[in-house]
Amino acid sequence: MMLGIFEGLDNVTLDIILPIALLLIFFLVFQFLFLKRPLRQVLVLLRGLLFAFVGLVLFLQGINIAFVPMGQEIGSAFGGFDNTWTLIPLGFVLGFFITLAEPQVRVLSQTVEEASSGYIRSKTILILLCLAVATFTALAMARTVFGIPLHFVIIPGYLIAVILLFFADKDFVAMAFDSGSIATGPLIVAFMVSLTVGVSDALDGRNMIVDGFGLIGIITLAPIISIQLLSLIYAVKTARGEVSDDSGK
Amino acid sequence: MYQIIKNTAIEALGAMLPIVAIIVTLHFTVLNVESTVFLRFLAGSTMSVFGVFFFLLGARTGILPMGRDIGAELPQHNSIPLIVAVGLIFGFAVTTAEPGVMTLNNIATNAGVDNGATLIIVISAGVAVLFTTGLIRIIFGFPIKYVLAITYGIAIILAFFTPPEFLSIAFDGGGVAAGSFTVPMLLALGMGFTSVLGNRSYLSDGFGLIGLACAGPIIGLLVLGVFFF
Repeated sequence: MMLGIFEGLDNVTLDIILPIALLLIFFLVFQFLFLKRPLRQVLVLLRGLLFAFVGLVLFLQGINIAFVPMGQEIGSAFGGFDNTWTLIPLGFVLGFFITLAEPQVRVLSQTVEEASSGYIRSKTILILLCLAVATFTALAMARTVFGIPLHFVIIPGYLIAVILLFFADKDFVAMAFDSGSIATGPLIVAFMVSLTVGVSDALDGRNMIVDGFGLIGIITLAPIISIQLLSLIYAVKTARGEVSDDSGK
Repeated sequence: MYQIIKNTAIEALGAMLPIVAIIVTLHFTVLNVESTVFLRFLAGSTMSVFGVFFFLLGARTGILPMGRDIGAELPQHNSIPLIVAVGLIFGFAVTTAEPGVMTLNNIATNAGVDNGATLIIVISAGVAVLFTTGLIRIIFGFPIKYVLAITYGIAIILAFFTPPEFLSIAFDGGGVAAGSFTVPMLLALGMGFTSVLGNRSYLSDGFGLIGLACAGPIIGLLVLGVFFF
């Protein structure tokens, strides 16, 4: 192949056979011991596994030839610029639009609106989440560009998340922690982590592993902290009587 | 069936297009990446769209219903060892097939972290243990707040003692563990599980499973960093 788009396909296939086989064995054991579903349903499951297998091979091969090299290319190009700080606004823009496009984020916004008995509008939550992820992505970029140790970001960040736990409402807490990874799908991981790894590789005195990784961990904090904060604001307003709490609890 | 195919296709395109659009814009405005790299990018993006489509379609039509059935079957045997065994094996198996986890492992290997499959195994084992903890929490009704505070508290304490190169990958590991495959799968099992428990509601008891499961890989990788390196 001229472009080498099938390069490494054999390795990718081998990597995926094992997990799919593991799932298959697990389901079959469960089927024979407990479920005992009709053959037709088992065939549907097998077809699903086959689709998932083909899908995973195509997806990971695509990631390997497209997003990883492109991320590294863009990363090292930015790392070679005189103004490496331009990565920070780039991170903000990327974070914002990726979150806006993520269907899961809309589902979450709707759920938060319902949990607040309609007081917090889903549009508000959507924008807030986009801004939060954008800010944390920019922060993660700033960390890579300036070589700030991850300890200084991760420890205070998760400490805030845990302290908020004690003040926020139970339903909001579960929702906040469950949606931590909402903005970090595999595609974002492939592109953004490759990008920061590329930047750290291009900058002098940066370590690819120490400075390149950590972005996903930082972005995960965005929904966790912002949804818990929302719950606090909502609680304060409820206490002041600005909202009628008709949830019946 | 047609409806599922259509929705999945829309979702696959919707998930890919924004980031592809941003990269293409960057290519033409600022960067001008070498043309073979760019053509490979276009070919690979197309491949990935089809990949996401088939993957989600297979997960939704075949694998998810099976997960829900298994979840509903679990509490009916009144056996904690069975729940623990199934929670552990299911959590592990599902996470090894999560594309985000494989991707992180690939990038780490490319960047020179020579780990074989250690990263995948530790992340999957971490999810397995804390997912099972989450199921047991639902049975006994421990408040989710305290369980989360304890697990993430442990992660914060371990973080102080972890060398920097492990800290970054550990927290990334927590983020990738909850992905497009693991989240619906773990929730399907959790939903089936709570649906037959009678007095428990999914909204208040089922939530928190994913957040808790994410702490598993973080703690697992941090422990690896503190004690073995």
